[in-house]
Amino acid sequence: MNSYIFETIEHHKESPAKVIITSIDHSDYHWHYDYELIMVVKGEIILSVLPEFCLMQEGDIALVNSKEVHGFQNNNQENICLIIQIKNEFFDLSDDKNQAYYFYLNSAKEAVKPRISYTHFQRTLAQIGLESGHMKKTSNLRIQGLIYMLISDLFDYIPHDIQQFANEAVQNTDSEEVLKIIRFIEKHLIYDNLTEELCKSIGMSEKGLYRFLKSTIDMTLKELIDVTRLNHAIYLLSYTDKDNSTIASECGFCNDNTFYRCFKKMYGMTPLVYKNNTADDKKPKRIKEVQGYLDYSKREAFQLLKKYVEIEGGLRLDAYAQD
Amino acid sequence: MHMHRIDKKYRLSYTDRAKGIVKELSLEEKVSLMSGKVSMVEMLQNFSGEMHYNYIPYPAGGIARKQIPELKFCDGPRGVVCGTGKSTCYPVPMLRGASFDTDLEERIGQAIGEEVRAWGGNLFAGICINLLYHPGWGRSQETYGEDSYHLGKMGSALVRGVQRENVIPCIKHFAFNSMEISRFKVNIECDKRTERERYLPHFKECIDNGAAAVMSSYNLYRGVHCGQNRYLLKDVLKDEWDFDGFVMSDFVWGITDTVMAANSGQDMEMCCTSLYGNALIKAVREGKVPEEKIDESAVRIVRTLLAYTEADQKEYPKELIGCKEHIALALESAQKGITLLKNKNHVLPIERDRIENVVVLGGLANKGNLGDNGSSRVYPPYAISPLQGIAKAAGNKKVIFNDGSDIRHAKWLAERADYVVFVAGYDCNDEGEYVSNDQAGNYMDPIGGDRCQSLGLHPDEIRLIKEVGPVNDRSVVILIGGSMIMMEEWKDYVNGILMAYYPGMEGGTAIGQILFGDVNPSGKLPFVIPKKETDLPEVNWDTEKQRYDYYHGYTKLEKESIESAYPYGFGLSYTKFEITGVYFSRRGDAIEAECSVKNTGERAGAQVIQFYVGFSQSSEDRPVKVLKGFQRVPLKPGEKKKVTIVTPIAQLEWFNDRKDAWELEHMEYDLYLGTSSSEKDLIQGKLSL
Repeated sequence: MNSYIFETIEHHKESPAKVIITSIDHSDYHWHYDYELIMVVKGEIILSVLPEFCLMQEGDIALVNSKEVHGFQNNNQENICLIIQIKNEFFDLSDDKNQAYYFYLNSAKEAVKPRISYTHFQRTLAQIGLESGHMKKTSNLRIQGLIYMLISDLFDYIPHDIQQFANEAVQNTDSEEVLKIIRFIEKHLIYDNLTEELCKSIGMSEKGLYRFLKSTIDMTLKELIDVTRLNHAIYLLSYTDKDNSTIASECGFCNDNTFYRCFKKMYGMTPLVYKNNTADDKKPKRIKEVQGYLDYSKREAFQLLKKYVEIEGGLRLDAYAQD
Repeated sequence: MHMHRIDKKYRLSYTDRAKGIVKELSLEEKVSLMSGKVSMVEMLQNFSGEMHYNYIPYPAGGIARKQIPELKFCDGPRGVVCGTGKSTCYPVPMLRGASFDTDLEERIGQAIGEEVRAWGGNLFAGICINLLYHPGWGRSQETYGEDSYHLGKMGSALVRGVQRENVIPCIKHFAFNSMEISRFKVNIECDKRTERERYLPHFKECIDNGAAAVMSSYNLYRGVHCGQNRYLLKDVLKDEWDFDGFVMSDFVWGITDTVMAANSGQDMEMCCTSLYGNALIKAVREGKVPEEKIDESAVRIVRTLLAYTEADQKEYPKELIGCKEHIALALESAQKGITLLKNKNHVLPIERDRIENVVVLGGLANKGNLGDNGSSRVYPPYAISPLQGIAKAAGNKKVIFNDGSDIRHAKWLAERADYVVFVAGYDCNDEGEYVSNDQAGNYMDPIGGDRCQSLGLHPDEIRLIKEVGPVNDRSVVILIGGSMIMMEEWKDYVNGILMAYYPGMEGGTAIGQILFGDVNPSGKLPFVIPKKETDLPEVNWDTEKQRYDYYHGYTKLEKESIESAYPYGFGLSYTKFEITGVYFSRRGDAIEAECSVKNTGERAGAQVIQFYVGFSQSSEDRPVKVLKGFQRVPLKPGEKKKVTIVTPIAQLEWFNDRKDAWELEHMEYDLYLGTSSSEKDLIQGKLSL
């Protein structure tokens, strides 16, 4: 597994955002200060923002909040994704520096719905994506304009919470701590006394750790360990020819049955079915890249994006109508 | 350096000098002392950028070469209005009234006095003691409550405090100013008994405690504007009560007639010269106003100003403004006034170690909400919002805020929360000082005013509480507002209710501390909360005439045997108190009510022991009972203290209209001692007089 603590995202000097069109292979859990918007232009990916996983299909859009620990993986299909990473300072509407905004935007989930239709956001994202491919001198300006529109729309139409911190000191530590825990689990999947070792390593009591995970990612340690194991299993199933028993034990499952049960519960199919579904020709070619992003056809991506811009013939007022 | 404690006697010692000075003045000079020196143009110029109303102390009078100092007017009451981003902003008086703590109010007065001096002022006009006849009154936040006795005690504490720094305490608005949007036009009628027993005693109490200036009100009383009402200003205030200070008009529209105002005893037109000045000189020359009237006003003004400005030579550095001691006092005030009304199943306090997160719902949570934007608006360096305060108190626990506009999402959050805290109520858009466009040009934004439509929460807040409250057993509501907020419609949908009023610049901190039990709530309602709005007296808010009845507030509900939702004087604590040894006796001209109070719980706390007198044996129409004494008692766990409340027997008198005199009924009185005005919370005794 490739690993990096968090993405350093470099922005164009004058641009509030970085726009990437790419094919996603796999990215480990990570976090960054930027707010990240993802739109699946083709195929499917699995987005995991602990404690939840969701399958994003063509046309789905999701927002990953600042400092939120998350990861991607392809779902054994070719995919093209549009990713827009916006500097968090552009979300700084509050005078209070101890506040962080948390948006609920994910069209692949039923939970919270925006006050206007997703197509409005699809169109804005697609426009940004298309502009990023232009070489015109005005493109950067236009992207900036669209980004500001997008941010305003998020504030006005997307349900959002504010997390209030008591002071700056407590503000930045949580995501790093969660990541540290995940890293430790990943490295020591096969430990028998994983919990004990983990507590020792991060200097928390078992009770303290339980509370910390519950309040940060709303998961128990056991759940987090299972998720991490299955994550590794998916990787082994996709890229190796190891048999299920080997995978189960390499992932730290005490026996094959437990592995099957957990896998089925999470992905709705057995490991074998998962493996067989992935025909060789469909299997993405693994390219060693820092970010785990794969090669893709630019031309195809722009063709697909145009579709979203043309849906309703540009900006129309009815896009703002209540859902 | 010699320092004088200013009282009436001290002020009167300046009479001869004042007369001597006035004798040397021309008519023009004397009249110049009698009005404000702010031009309307200057005043409007003040309303831009960081400037605002009373940005600097407003000057009036003053003749330098005759050694007559200017009056320097500073408004309040939630602090000193001057400057931007500097003055300490205390909780509004309604919250301070709920503390029932006269010692604290006196300390606040002294701190305000220091800031007035540091701004270069010498008069504090933020002592508002208008009776809360009906809680719909838009400026109810500026006063202390609905009971005249309590109002007099709290107001006079502020008077004494301000006076300690040799600042002229100015009480307002004299009188009957208990309505807002009609304040310029409404003619108040009430019978003389109501006037004497309900509307004037607290003014007299403040004057007896040293108030040296009185601001007249805009409204009319018995057909005459109070700013030029001879009966109120001359007959009652100056003759009957022997008031030695001076009267000033409320600003700009406080008087309407030069001759009438001057002849009725209006000493000073504030804050611009319009109907006084040349018009008054002309009126004197034409013989319409006797020059003796001018002399009398001039002597009152000069005497008062000399007495205060010569009382000390102390320097007040600017560093006093918003200093940490004053801000600590603002916090202490909020801690002692916020009132816990409901705490079913001991939902509060939140046990910090047993929770992971708190969800805070409602837009007002994310706002440092200090009150209205009228003349009492103070501009502090910061204001802690309820949300910030909760996060501070929660330590490293997660605090999530959502405005609650999406009910489905709010429910989703509430289901996952360890605690749900709703923050609901008002801001300056809902209630407050109001100047309509036709009356005042652009003087102020025409927002606020009286709560004409409803005394309840906004429909979206009620819906949020009713739909989301029941999702989580640990749901509490924090109410923000200037006075009574109806709660019958939603109060069963949550287990906890905390009334926070407008809690000042450190209000959020106090809210957090109280929610998490770092501070034990001890406030008591300075008004009754009825079950129905119709239980309150009828008031037409937009009207040219209004009658004030003898009965209002808790006395009205009690007289009509109507049960309240929460009685006057009510407030819960996280600890328990036991009252024993109740004993009533006569000591000369006073009644002594005594008891022992013990804190039988495990937390330190404070209880307000209240003394009520009842009149069941009266042959006249008298209230069931009225408040005639109170004392706030702080107690450590297990601690027991003896409390003695002494009330002059004269307090039991009633005003006999027919004989135009105060009378004591000789009969058996019902005496009550306890922790609220509800009979359930009182121990009763009898005493014959």
